[in-house]
Amino acid sequence: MPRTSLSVDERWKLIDSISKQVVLRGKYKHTLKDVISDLSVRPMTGIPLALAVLFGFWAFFGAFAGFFTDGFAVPAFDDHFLPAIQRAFPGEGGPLYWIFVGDPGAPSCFEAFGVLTSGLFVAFGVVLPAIVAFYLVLTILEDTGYLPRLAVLVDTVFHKIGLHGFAIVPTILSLGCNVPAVAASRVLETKKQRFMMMSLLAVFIPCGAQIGVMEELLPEYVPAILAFLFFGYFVTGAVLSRLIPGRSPEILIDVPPYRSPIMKNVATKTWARVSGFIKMAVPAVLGGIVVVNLLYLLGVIDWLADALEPIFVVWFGVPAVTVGALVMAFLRKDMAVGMLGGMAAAGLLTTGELITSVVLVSIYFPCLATFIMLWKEGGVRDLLKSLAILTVSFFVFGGLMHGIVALAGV
Amino acid sequence: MKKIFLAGNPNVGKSVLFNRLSGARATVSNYPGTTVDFTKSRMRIAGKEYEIVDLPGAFSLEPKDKAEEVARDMLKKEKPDAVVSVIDATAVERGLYLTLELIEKGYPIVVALNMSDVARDRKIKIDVRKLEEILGVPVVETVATTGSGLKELVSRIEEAKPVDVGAIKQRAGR
Amino acid sequence: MMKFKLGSAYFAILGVITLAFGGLEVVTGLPGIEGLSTGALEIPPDLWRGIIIFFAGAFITAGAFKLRDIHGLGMSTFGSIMLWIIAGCDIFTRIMESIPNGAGGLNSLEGFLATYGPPYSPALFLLPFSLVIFYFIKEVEK
Ligand SMILES: Nc1nc2c(ncn2[C@@H]2O[C@H](COP(=O)(O)OP(=O)(O)OP(=O)(O)O)[C@@H](O)[C@H]2O)c(=O)[nH]1
Ligand SMILES: [Mg+2]
Repeated sequence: MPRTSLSVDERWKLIDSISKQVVLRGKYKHTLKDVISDLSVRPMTGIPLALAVLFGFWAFFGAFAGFFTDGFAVPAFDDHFLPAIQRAFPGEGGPLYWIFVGDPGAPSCFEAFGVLTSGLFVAFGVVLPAIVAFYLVLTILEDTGYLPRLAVLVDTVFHKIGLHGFAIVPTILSLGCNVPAVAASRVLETKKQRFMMMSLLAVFIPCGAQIGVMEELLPEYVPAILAFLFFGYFVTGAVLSRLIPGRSPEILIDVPPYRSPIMKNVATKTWARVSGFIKMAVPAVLGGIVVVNLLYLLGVIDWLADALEPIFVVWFGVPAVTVGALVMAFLRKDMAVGMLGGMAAAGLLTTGELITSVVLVSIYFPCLATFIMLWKEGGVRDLLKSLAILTVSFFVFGGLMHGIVALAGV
Repeated sequence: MKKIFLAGNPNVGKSVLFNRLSGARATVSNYPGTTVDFTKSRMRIAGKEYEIVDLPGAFSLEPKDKAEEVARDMLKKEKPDAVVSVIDATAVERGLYLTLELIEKGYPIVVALNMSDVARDRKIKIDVRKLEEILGVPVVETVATTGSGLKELVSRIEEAKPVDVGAIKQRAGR
Repeated sequence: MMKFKLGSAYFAILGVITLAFGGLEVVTGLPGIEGLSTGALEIPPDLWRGIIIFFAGAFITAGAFKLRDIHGLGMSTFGSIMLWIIAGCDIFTRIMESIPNGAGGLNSLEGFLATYGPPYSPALFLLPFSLVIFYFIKEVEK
C-alpha cells in the first residue's frame, strides 16, 4: 500500500477541512462551572482560594491523623503494648532484646527504638494514618482538576527558577512520596528542567510519612520547617537555573474542566497508594531499625559520631548523637525523624536542636527508594550531579537553620 | 497474542478506558500527564485473548517531553495489531493531528470519540458517520467513565486497518 | 423580579458580616492579641483562617449585586465555597475529636455530645445562611 506523509501544514489544513465537515459547534452559554473555573485561575480570586484549599488540606490532615494517632495509637502503644512487650520478651538487655524491643526502661514507643516497639508504632500508629489522610485529599485535588489550576496560578513564580507552573504537580505529589514524583518530572520539556525538578524534589521536599511524624512530634513548628524547606527549594532552584545550561521554554498549561470526583476512583486510587506504602515502606522501616540497631551494637555509629562530632556541633549546632538518625535516614526518613523525637523525649536534644536536626534529615540524602528512582530516571551522571547539589545544600541550609534557631532563641 | 494500544492526547480518558477494558487499575486523574509510563494488561474479546497497552498522553509522534517519548518508542518498537486512537470529542482537531500521524505511519486504527457526554453538554455535534467515511476507519462515540459505547468499540477493533492519507485527502475533498 | 432584589440584599449583608468576622479573626490572630470568646461564639485567633474568611466575605458581597447574571452568581458561589471549606474542616475536626476519649478508648455519650456544643466559630455560624445560594443557582439555571 502506498504510504503518503504530510507536512505539518498540510496536516493542519486537512484537519481543518475534515472538522468543517463533521464538527458542528452549537451556541454555548457560560455555565456556573465555567465562571468558577475562571475565578480559580485569576490571581485576585485564585490566590485566596488556593489559601483556603491549603488550609483545608492541612486541617483535614491534622484532624484525621490526630484522630488515629493521638486518639488511639499513642495510648494503646504506650500504655498497654509497650509495657507488656518489655516484660514478656525474653532476654532483657541482650542483643535480640535491643533489636526487637529496644530500651527496656523506655516510657514511650518513640524512645524505645526496637522493631516491635518503635517500628510498629511509627509505621502503623503514626505514618499510616498520615499517609491515608494525605492521599485522600490529594486524590480529591487530582480528580476535581484543581491541580492544573494551581499550576496556572504559580506559573510566574516558577518561571523565576527556570521551571513552569506545571512543576507544582510533581512537587505536590512529592509531598506524598518522592518516588512517583520523580517519575512525574517526565512531563517537563527539557533535560535541564527535568534534572532540576528531580534534584529539588529529592533534596528539599519531605514526604508525607516524614511530615506525619513531624506533626506528631513538634506540631507547632511544622509550618515553619516546611516554609524553610520551600525557601531552600526556590533559592536553590534560582541558582541552578542560572548555572545549568539548557532551555526553559514557556508552555501553555492545559486546564481540563472541573469534574466531580468519582467515589470508586477515589477509593481505588487511595487504596493502591496505601497498599503500596504497606508493601514497600513498612518492611523498610522495620528492616531499617534492625540495621541501625546492629550498627549501634557493633559500635559503628558511636565511631561515626565521634568522627563527625566537630562538624555537627560547630556547624549545625546539634549534638553528635543525631548521627544515628542520619544513618537511619538512608533507609527511611519517617523513622529517622521518629528517632530524633525519641532522643528529644529522652532529654538528649533541646527543641532548637530537634528542629535543626529535622531539617538536616529532610535535606540529607534521599531515602533508598528515591535514590534508586533517581538513578533509573537520570542515569549515573545526573545522580552524581544531584548528590553534589545535595551536599552543598545540606551544609548551606543546615548551617543557616542553625543560625535561625540560635537567633530565634528556640 | 495480538496487541492493542491505546494512544491519544493527554487527559482524554485513555487510562479509564484501559481499566474498563482490562479490569486493571491504572492511575486516573483529572490533569494532563498522569500516565508517564506504559502499562500492560490482558483482555478477552469473543473468546480470544489480547494484550492491551495504555500509553502516556502525547500530542504528536514528534515528542516534546519524556512521557511522549515513551509513547512513541513503544509504538515503534512493539508493532501493535491495532491502535485505538482516543480523541476528546470536545477537542477533535488536536486529536485528529495525532490520529493522522498514526495513520501516516501505517498503524491499523480505530477511533474512540471519548467524552461524548461532555461534548453533548457543550452543544458540540459530531457527524460520526461522515468522519468514519472520510477517515476510512471505524469511529465510535464513547463515554469511558460510564462504559457507554465500549461494546461497540470492542466489537469493531477487528476492523482496524491501515489506510492511506492520500485517499483521506481525496475523500475530504482537498 | 422581587426574588433577586431580596437575594442581592441578603448576600450583600451576609458578605459584609462574613468579611467583618474574617477581619476579627485576622486581628485576634496578630501576635500579642488575645482570642475572643462569648458563650456561643468563639473567634479563633488564626491569621490564615481570618484572611480566607475575609476574602470569602468580599467575594460574596461583590457577586451579590449581580446575582441574576451568571458571573455575579458565580462570584458569590465562589466566596461561599471558600467559606464551606473552612466550615467543613471545623465540622470534620469536631467529629474526629468527639469519638476517642483521650485514653485509648471510645468516648462516653455525654462526652461525645458535649463536643458538638457551643462555642462555634464564625464559619460554622455563617454556614447555614450561605446555603441559600443553592436556591439562586437553581433559579438562574431555569
Ligand atoms: N465526563 C467524562 N469524563 C471522562 C471520560 N473519560 C475520562 N474522563 C475523566 O477524564 C479524566 C482523565 O482521564 P484519564 O483516563 O486519566 O486520562 P488519560 O488519557 O489517561 O490521561 P494521561 O494519562 O494524562 O494522558 C479523569 O478525571 C476521568 O474521570 C468521559 O468519557 N466522560
Ligand atoms: Mg493515563
